[in-house]
Amino acid sequence: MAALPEEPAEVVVKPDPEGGVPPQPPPAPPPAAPPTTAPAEGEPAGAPGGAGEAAPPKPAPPGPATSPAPTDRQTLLAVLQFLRRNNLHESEDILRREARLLGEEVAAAALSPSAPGAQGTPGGETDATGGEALLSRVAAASGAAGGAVAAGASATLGGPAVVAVPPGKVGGGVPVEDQPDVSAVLSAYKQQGDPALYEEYYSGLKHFIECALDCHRAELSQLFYPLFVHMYLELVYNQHENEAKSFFERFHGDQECYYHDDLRVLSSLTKKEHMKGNETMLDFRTSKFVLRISRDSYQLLKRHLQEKQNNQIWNIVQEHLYIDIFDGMPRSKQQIDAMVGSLAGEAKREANKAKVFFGLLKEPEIEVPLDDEDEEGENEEGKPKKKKPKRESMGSKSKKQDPNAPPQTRIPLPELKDSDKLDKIMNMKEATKRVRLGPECLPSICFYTFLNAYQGLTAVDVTDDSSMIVGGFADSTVRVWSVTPKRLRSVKSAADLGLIDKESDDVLERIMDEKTASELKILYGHCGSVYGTSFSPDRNYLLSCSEDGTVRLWSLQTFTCLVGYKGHNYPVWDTQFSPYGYYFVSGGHDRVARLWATDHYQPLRIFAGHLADVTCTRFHPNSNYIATGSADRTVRLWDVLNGNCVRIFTGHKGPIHSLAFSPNGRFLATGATDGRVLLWDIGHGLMVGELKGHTDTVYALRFSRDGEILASGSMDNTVRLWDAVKVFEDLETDDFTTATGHINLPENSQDLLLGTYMTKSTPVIHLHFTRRNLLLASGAYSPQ
Amino acid sequence: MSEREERRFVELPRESVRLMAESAGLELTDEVAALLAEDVCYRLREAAQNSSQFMKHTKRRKLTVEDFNRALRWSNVEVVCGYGSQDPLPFRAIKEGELYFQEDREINLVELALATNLPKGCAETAVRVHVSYLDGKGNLEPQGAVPSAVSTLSDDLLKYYQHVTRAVLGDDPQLMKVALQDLQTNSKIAALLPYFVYVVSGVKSVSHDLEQLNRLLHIAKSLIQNPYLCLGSYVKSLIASVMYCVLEPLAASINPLNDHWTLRDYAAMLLSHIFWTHGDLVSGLYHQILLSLQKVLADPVRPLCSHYGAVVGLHALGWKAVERVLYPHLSTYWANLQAVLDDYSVSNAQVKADGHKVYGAILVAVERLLKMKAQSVSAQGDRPWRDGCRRESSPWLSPLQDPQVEFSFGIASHLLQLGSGGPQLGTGISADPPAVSLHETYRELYDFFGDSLATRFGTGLGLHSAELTPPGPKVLDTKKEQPAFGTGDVVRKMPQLTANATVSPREEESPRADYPPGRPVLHRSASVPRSRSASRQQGHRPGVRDVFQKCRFSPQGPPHFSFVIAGRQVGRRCQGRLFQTCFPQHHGPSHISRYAQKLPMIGRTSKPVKKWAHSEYSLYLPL
Repeated sequence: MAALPEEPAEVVVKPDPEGGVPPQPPPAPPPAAPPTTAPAEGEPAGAPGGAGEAAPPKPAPPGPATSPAPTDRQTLLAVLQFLRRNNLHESEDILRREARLLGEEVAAAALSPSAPGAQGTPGGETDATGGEALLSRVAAASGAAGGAVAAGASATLGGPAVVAVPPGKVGGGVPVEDQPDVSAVLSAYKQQGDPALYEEYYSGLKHFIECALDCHRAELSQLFYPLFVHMYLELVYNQHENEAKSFFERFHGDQECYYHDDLRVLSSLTKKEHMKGNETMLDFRTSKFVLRISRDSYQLLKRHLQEKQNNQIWNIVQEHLYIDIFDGMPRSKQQIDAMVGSLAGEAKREANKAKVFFGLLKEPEIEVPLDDEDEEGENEEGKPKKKKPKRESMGSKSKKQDPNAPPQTRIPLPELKDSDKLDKIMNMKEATKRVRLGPECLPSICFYTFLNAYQGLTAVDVTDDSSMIVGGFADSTVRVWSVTPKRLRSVKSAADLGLIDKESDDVLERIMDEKTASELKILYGHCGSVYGTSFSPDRNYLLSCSEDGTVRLWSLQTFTCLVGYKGHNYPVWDTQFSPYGYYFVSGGHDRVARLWATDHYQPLRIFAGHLADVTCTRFHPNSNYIATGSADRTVRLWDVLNGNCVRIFTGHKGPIHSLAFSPNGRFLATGATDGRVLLWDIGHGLMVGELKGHTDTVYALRFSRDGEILASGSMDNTVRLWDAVKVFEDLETDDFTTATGHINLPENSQDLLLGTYMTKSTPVIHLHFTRRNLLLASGAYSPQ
Repeated sequence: MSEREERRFVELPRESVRLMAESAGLELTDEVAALLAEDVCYRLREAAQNSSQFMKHTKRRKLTVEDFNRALRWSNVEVVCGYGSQDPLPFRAIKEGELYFQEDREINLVELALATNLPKGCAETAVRVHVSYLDGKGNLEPQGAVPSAVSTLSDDLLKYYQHVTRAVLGDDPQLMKVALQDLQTNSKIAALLPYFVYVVSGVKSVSHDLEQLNRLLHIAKSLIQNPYLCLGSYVKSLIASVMYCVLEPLAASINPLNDHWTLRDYAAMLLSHIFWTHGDLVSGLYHQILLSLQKVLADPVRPLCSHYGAVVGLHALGWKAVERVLYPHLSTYWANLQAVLDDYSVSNAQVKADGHKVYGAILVAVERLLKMKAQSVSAQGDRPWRDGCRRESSPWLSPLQDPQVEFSFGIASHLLQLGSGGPQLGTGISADPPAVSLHETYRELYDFFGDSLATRFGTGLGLHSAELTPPGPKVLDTKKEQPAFGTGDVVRKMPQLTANATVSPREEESPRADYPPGRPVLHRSASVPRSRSASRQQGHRPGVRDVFQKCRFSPQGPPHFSFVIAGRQVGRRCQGRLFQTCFPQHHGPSHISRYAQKLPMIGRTSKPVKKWAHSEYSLYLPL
């Protein structure tokens, strides 16, 4: 709704507050959210609001759903309700499909108290909707705010409008008391069937699916897991403990192996009282499990359930599952297996339809000064003639506008400082000396080993120019090392600074206090394990996030803490600076990712939607998007401009712990505890590769500077190199694949593996390519 | 169903809940307790699941107490204090009461607080860089046993290191002594540990120089004894060096004049010392060492000095090790040794001498085995045999440690080739050695050693007999003249050495030719005037008649004891040689004891008398 490119904005964002007075008001305060949307977010969505509730623009699925006019809609809803009450499911279904209404809207509308409906479902459905609305509310809020910003005069990403969302209500991870509708959510299970018959129902369905034609069987098998879970939860909720246990024992073996972690949680859940606080359970309740099934298979299922009068299962299918029906050939088992595995099923197709500007921003044109030093350097290497064409190629590359790139000013970015320009020039110079990697020319690997870390190293980052390395530790410290002979120095104290001659040429050198020079600086401030660290691109700042719920900004000039950003009330698992500085993102146990600017003490955007902890966060190279990986086994891509979720990638079978964008911005690599690395095409929203080989969690991923090689580092003490060029070459981007999202991946990824490199009992937790494509890996030596 | 049972979670019995309630002064009904127990279990599971998240984000594989406490803190539960130590908690079980508990020793805080020589703080976290793979190929860094850079050294430490190494390896014995002493007590040399370990690992390069080897072993010993050093994974490296000295055919042993035997004895002693004091640092260490030793022993190609090393190594590791490795292996090994010993050619003289060394070492080892076994049996008194043997199983084989864990010491081929159980080599060691009764063990061993084994017990008994018998002057005095007994002219040689011995005339004299085939006989002639066989049916040689002799001298005066040991050495190895031993109480430096001195003695045969206290005692029980 707000993904339109906005008009160019003039407001310049001041990059960083000098010295660290954090909470500066934004240059131009953005207007508050428009009153039309605000109340809708404010009141609990589950509250009885009559049919009018459906009228305000619903947050839910971005995409088609062009809602009819309110009056028409009401009539329609009344008819639907009538049909439902009289058990005319098929006609109801057809009508609903015709009206292109989504189930929850119907349900929400059906909430008139006079409709105690057949099987008592309406109440339950409403609550389910409430739950979903609850989760999407925040996204809606930020979306609305984003829209407001876009519409408003100011283009500054800012503010109060977004933050107006009560933080306590963000995400499902917060204590139950914060969620007034939890009990309502739970009560959706209240409907009673004969508990003894549950096993019969399930095994009947199982029998039916197993006897179905091969092509349908694979698709329909997807039903097993969500049905199993919901039936089990229903039994538990209605306090049929023994039936629940025997149901679990009988059927849990049928479930796919990648659900076993969830099943373990589920099996410990045997009492109604336990359901209240259980997060996994809530996830299941508050979101519909999404299945993608071909129309034929769906018809088959529907016919079967109606023939058998199997209302119990039919109700679950209707209320708790979202069946995304597509036309065409049913998918094969491999195709399905590649995409499933997340906590809430696959992504809906329309969730990945939004346009994403994945191109790179145009680089500012910088005059590369032809200083003598440079000349000499080139001469020494004996190829002075090659210099010119190279520079030209650099220049031409940056001049051409990428058609997929977002407008240059889609989000305001800080202006380049002189020092940034110098750094860019350095970068270009280095780039000319860059090793061209490929299957024939693999990078050399240097390993930075943290010794005597006592099992406490949690996070590592290296500056872009590879001059400093930072380690976050479980003992709450952040340690910065210089890995060049240049030692780390702080700025002199204010009194001493007053004495120096500000006019002198070497003033930048004079302000440094030589007495403080050391190889290592330790930053104290957090009061809990540090879980993530990130250098700012200009190397003046450092971010760290911690178990204590804060993100801290440190100055690398004074080696002191400048700001503590409070917002996450739970451990913050990851943080990263934008590639242009100024902005940064953080994600944590409260299931949301937040976008911050260094000079705002409150987040600019809150990205809510994940069903479990946000475990890792990465900026897209053009800074317009943010990717987040989560323990719900999905990866989401968020638009920084409006806070919308524009991509949902499912397919991992374990919590995601690493993300990496390819340098051209087109692809995303993700690594998870299942030891697999998946590659995604951002533009099409498709999985394009699966790299199997690691035997333990992949904690580090990095593309080489030119994107030819993907390096992955894992807990299994290995670094592996993969042929990224080959993966993306083989990519089939025909219309059919793009349209349906059905992908065929090669079974074996061994021909993509270029090398496996062992470390000496050192798990690899960070990888970095230097500007010349030397691979730096790091981790803590952990003797067995 | 059964699958479900397997993955069952820990459950708290309601009794525990009620107990807790009672300690808080509450009475709970059964129903409430059951509900509470179930809820507590659920909460525990939840906390455990949450804590694993912290582990994952700390990028560890091991769940720590700290992780669990974090999970508790975030769910607003009080944390559990007092379990933060990195050291593993020993978990003990008392089988009788089905009681399991963690050892919780008291710590004297006052002593800790007032300690003057505090260990130096842990090494500082540091980052080191090295080029691992150049152009994606090869590893430039050799995978040595000692990490090349561990922590930076201050100049003082460096100086200390140089001085100490120079002193130890230098010429001045006095200086060496001082240096070693300091190495043993200095509390500030933690940072130097890898360097010293590296120095010790230099044994491989000086295997021609006994003196240097000896000194390096002394360094190892000092390091081990230094209470301020935490050896950690360096134990492996140290053991590898020591094992090298024990097992390898050192260059120094080419010259028969070199006393490399003593070095091996010393190294074996050191090995056991390391193992007993630091064995807990490396899991599966014991198993691994045993495998190495066994491998050497089973390899007939290796020189005898290596075999000797293996035997003394086993001996040093305790009688259990001997029982597990040497004892079952003896029958195969014996054939080889026999061949060496029976070869009288001049060219074989040197090898034969070595063979005697090995023979002596084995003898000492099995002797200890028998004694300790007897002791363990008698210590248990009324317990049945087999049960007793099992219960004695070594404490370091607790289930916590995986005997399959493999690591190589990286010193030599035989250590590197350790297969997991190595079925093709037959090197696997059963974790639980079959419980063989003392009696059977003795019989078996007697097959090999015959007389000479008994000899050693004879001397032992003599030393101890005072406790057993009414004191008789003769009995006590071991220094007195030996009495003439029986056929005094019997040449007492090790049976194996009398390969040409023919059937002695006494076979015909034997009054009890109809006895079941006899095994070693050991009896108190005082209580039983006539010799009697307590032997059992013997399996593999039923046709052999055995010879039993009468007591050769009549008891007179105050009762005294003597052993009479006789029999035919059965089995292929002994070709049915006859022998007989009759030990009266020694009344002086008997020819037996004199003979004992002629035996190839190794190491420390003279054990403190006390240790033998019970062994003799128990020898009577089964016979």
